[in-house]
Amino acid sequence: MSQAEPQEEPLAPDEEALLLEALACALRPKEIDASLNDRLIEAALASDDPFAPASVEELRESARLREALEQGTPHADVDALRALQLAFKPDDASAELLARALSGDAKPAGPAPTEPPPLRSKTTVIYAAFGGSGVVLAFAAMFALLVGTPESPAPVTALVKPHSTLSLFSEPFETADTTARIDRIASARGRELRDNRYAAWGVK
Amino acid sequence: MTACSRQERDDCGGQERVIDPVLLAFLSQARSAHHVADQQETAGDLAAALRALQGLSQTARPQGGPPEVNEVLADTRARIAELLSRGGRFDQAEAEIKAGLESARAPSYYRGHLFEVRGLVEERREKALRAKGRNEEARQARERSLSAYEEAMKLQADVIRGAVRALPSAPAP
Repeated sequence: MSQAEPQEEPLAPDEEALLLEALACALRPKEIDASLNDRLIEAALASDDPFAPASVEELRESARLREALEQGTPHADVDALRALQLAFKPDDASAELLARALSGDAKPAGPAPTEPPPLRSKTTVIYAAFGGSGVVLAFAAMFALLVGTPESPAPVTALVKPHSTLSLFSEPFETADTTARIDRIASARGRELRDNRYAAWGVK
Repeated sequence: MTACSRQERDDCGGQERVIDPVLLAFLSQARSAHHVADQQETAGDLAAALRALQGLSQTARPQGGPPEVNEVLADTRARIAELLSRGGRFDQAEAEIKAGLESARAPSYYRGHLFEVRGLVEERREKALRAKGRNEEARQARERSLSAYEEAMKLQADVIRGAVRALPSAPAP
């Protein structure tokens, strides 16, 4: 972080820690609590219809964002979106930018530093680039290195289909254990639904 | 789902059905119903427990008859039957068991459990009839109970044997 430009505030340690944790969770999602999973599903299904027509405000905001992406007008979310776009569809300019970031030659946007940065490892350069406009480099580098180019979405035949739950149980049932069995079934199918979603998005 | 990824809905219809939010919504509903029933049972309110479970068996289900739905319903009906028999509603309990057996036609722990509950229901019926001095009817209930328990044991044994056969064989020494 000591390499950040004086006028570009690096991320605070706690903010940086949160960002790294979020990236790690996106890369290696962990099991979530079964009851939390249920609440998330219920909240999603109980929320406003995701397929409803866009509101006037939503249309206005999407137009602003489109204009910012196409014409470069200011918008708070443009940098992050461009980073994601470059990570998944790198062009020649982004490939060069990424290569420079990995080699330690990347420079954050703004005036040139008054003294040359010392030699550092690739890892240190990426973390140091979290400050200021280096967030773009960080996102692109992390996604390209860790997530890579997503494969084509999985065909329907590769997705998990509904199937018997018998494989979840290895002994005769007790009536008193009915709730536990239903819990296990719902949890197992919840995991498979997540797997299907990831496969449909082309993410391993 | 990928064939539907360009569509707005996850439901791919009957041709290429995959595990989707509709199925999960049903399973989540089932889960909640059983947990509510647990709490009501603990509180001693069997009527409320029954309402929670019977609501599930009467609710809309995902199309296409996914195996998970049939099996959850079979298990739910077994529990409903057990609760009904506690209140002396033996004929209603038997109706639930018959409906559950329609959902679990293949030999499985689900089917075996339904027969076991039938055995329990008839056992309770026998006791109730004897208490009223209706000994001949009680004897018939006892026979049905024994027959149901035997069928349950046979089914469970078949399932266990099938599971053992399905295990990969150990390498020869």
